[in-house]
Amino acid sequence: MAEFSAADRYRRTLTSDGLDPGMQLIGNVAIPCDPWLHGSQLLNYPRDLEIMRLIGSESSIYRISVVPVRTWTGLVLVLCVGAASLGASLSAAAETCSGPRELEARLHSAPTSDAYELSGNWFLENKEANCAVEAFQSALKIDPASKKALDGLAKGLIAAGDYGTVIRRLRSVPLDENLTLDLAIAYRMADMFDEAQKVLTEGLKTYPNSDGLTGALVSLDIHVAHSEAAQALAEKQARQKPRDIEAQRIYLRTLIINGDNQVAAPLGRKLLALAPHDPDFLYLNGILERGAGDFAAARKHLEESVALNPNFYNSHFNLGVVLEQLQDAAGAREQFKKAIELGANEPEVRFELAKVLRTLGETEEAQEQLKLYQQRLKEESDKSLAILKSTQAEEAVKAGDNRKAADLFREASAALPGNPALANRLAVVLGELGDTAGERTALQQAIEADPEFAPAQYQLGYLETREGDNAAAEQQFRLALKAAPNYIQAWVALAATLGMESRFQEAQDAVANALKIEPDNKAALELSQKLADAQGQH
Amino acid sequence: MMGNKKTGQWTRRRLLHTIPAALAPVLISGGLRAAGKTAAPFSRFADVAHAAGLTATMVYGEPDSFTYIFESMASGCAFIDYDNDGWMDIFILCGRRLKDTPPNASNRLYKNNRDGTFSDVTAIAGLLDTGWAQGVCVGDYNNDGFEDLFLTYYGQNRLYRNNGDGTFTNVTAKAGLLYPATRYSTGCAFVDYNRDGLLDLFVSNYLEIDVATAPKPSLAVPNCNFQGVPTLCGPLGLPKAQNYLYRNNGDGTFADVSRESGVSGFRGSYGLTVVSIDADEDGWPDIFVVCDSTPSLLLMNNRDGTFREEALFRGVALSGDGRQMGGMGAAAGDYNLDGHTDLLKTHYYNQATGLYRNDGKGYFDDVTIRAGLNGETRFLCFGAGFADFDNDGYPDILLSTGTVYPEVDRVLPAFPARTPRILFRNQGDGTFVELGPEAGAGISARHCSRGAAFGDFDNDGDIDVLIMNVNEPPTLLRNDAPPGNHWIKIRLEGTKSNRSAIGARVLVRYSGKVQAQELLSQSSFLSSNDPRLHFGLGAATTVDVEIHWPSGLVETMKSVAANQLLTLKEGSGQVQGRAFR
Repeated sequence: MAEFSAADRYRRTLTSDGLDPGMQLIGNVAIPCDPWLHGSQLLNYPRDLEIMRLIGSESSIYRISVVPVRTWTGLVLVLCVGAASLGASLSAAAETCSGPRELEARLHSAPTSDAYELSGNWFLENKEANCAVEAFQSALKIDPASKKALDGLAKGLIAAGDYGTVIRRLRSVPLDENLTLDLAIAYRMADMFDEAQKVLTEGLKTYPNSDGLTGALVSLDIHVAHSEAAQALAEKQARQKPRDIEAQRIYLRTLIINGDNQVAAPLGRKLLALAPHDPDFLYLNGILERGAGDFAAARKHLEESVALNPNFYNSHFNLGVVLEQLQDAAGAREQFKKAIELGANEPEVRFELAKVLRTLGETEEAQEQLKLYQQRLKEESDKSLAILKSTQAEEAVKAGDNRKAADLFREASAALPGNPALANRLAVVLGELGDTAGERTALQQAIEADPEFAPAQYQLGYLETREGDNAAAEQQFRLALKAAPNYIQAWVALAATLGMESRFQEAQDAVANALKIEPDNKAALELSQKLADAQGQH
Repeated sequence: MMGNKKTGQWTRRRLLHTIPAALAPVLISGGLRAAGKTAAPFSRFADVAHAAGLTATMVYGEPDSFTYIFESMASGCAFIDYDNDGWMDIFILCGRRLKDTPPNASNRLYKNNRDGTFSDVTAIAGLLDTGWAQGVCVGDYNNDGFEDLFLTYYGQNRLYRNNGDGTFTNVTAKAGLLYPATRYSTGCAFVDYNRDGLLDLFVSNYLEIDVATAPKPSLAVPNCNFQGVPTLCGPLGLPKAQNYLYRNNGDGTFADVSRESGVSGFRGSYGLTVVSIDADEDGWPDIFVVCDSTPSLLLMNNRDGTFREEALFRGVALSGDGRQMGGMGAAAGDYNLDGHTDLLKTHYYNQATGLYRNDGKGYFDDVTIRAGLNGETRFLCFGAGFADFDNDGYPDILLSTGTVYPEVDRVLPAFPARTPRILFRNQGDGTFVELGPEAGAGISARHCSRGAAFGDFDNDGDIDVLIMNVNEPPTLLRNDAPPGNHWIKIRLEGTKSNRSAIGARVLVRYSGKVQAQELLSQSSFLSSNDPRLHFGLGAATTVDVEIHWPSGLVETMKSVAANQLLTLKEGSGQVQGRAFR
């Protein structure tokens, strides 16, 4: 009877936290890592891939601290396999959070909200997301109304990929301009574009002059292939702020994205005259001149851009294309190789490199690059198929046709067998259909694809609990937490499992970890109370 | 009688033909003068389709929105002299609606009345048919002297044998071209790939789609919306289809040799228009397949019944900077008068029409930017042709355009449901300049168009254009070329080669220039042009002609007079041809 109660309590724990079912998938295990590929999949037909290059660099323009990507429901991890390990590394950092000596000293002598905020900001700047989260959480404990601390916390969580927590924390509080942007980014990263759009649109009503919100909405519109809407908004902003160079920059980029080069070219020249050493304006003018066939001018501007910002691979790629047009195959080869060295993964870079290698008589390496090009095309094609099938599957889920959804997820998963998120979604649907064996197989497939795929480990733990194998369940929950230390549900489930084993102190410790991440988490609070009661009775 | 009729109808043309060239710019309404070097008068185009009797609406999908991709791609058209009277007749492909077929929906055959008008002879000819027709290729597959028709469908393709008496017979099954399940065939080309004197058949397939499972317009499904409007789903994510090669057995039947020729192995692209040219000038026909959203294919003939795919290697698979393009149609011609066949490829929105210069060895260089074509990316382009409209000796370019998302127009005027034709004038220095309304109302008129066929329907010595419009009657652009320039037309009759002489390469030399043209059975967008090769000659009054017959025979003719239709029979030189004028 007691055991039944514990199991029952555990089940209720899993269903009483008020989370959207999909939210588990967007815990801190997912971070975007390849905006290019997502972008290219947005399109009904391939469009000018220059657009994608522009999107790829937008984070630097809009000063958004994360790389924006579009993902489709259930596919957050499609292009980011392996990203889950980031959580672990951040966790390791969190174990030894220490900032500069003066900040530590200040915290030691006066642990105020301000001191924690300063510390948090330092961690953010130094890309130690979990430490930042910890610092801002401490600040909020002291001053729960601090918007600066909440903003810092949101930024830390976004940097750690924990969009779900940001959404939960911000969706019901009054938002200032920064928090609006935080929430919108979290929605966007979580593939909830409509919500992001709504938040930004509402935010712009309150803060109509906000460059950040405008930039984010323009960026979002471009991202979801509403480039006309983006241009209209950017144009409006640019007209309202004729002296605001950032507003003009955003407008210029939307013009280029939409192929409106006749308007873009004079604007680009004007902006470059105003900021002649801006690498971005040099780059944009370079690609406009390349498009107009003025290769000499394009070469000059792209070379200047590369000199000022040598780590932006798009400039190298475009410079390579221009050099190729100017019959400088050796120079082009150098630029394409540099672009690849800097992380350019687009198939056309391989193709262009192959082309100049062939011109230079290096046919063997040219063939090798062509093979790589074709391999990348195949990968993209497989991804397109998987995205289509999985999106259809999600629609089937919404329509209540889980059997059809399972078939579609199977097709998607077959197209991308190394993708854990697809296998995991298949598992969820099979679970809904009562096919526990199939669910287990799919979960194992997900884990095989990525041994640190926390949602599958968590769900496998849940299955083990249902089977009554608490030891196996505990192991899975711990694996999930190793991969994703901020995975609240896993902490709660682990606590419940430990509770069922009457290991109340360990269970309380696990709940405490959950509450440390999210102090007002209903499920954790409820379980904590129940554990205390059980411990008392015991 | 006919002459009188023509005189009455073509007053303006007669005026243009009679006024001295120097006065033309003054008399022609303003704007004809193009920028830069091309200040000379250019052609003007008028849509004479209605007056010519081309009035049947070419149904294709719902008028205001499409659900599936096969509704949107629509179809091609052809100039074909089906009755061998020397006047180009017209054949246009038609679709249906998703749920039903309107009573008058059918492919149409219009007989040329030789007076600027046409008569609908579809029923008499036995060509009434409904379905999702896509492409047409024209060729005399049985070498009986009459051009036959092969039509591709989303469904079952058709081979129509021309009976020589004004009627056609559907011989698809008899020819062994039936297949068991629905295919989405698009491009086709009659091509004598093994040079046995018989036209074989290449068929490209777009993709695999089953209405029962295909995704529908949705904001949620990627690739099923455009600019925030739910639209038909694009090809990405849909399975690619196999292409087919059928060998002509010489007895009215074809054998599927897709596997043994290697053609079935070149999967991985969404194939549309097929253009067969001798890219490397080795005397063996190669096959260019324009592909949507994926690399285009160039199947190089191994001269042993097999092909190798080398588009990437030869520079014609992608744009010049390595991007996969939304390819739709293609033209083959010699824009820079170097004696080699170049390729032009039309593309999706925001992608310039690509011009690929052939070095004569089958290696191509994307010269789109250098040629000045890069600035026009506003429209989704389908049909394409190199044609020397003003007969100045330099082939110009005309593109037909249209949307695949008519519903977006209501939300975003930047993507109109109807769009103009695009005309580029060759400036004679490797570059082009775009002309607009100054080239006539027929250019600026807006339609939702697909295939375009190029030919001289009124036998007046210039190239006119037939265009398939979606859910509208077709357009027939009558070219009123400026006077003063000369021209020559060449009609070929194969003997050892296939009777249609498809695959022949003709070099015409004039005024120190050389221009190459090849006889094709499909180009543009799923369409087929007038098989009489037309060369504008500028001021030249005589030309030298060199014919490379598909059989390998090379024949030359020196100092041939301009302004005539020259009929050449393989091995026999000039012969008495069909009527002209």
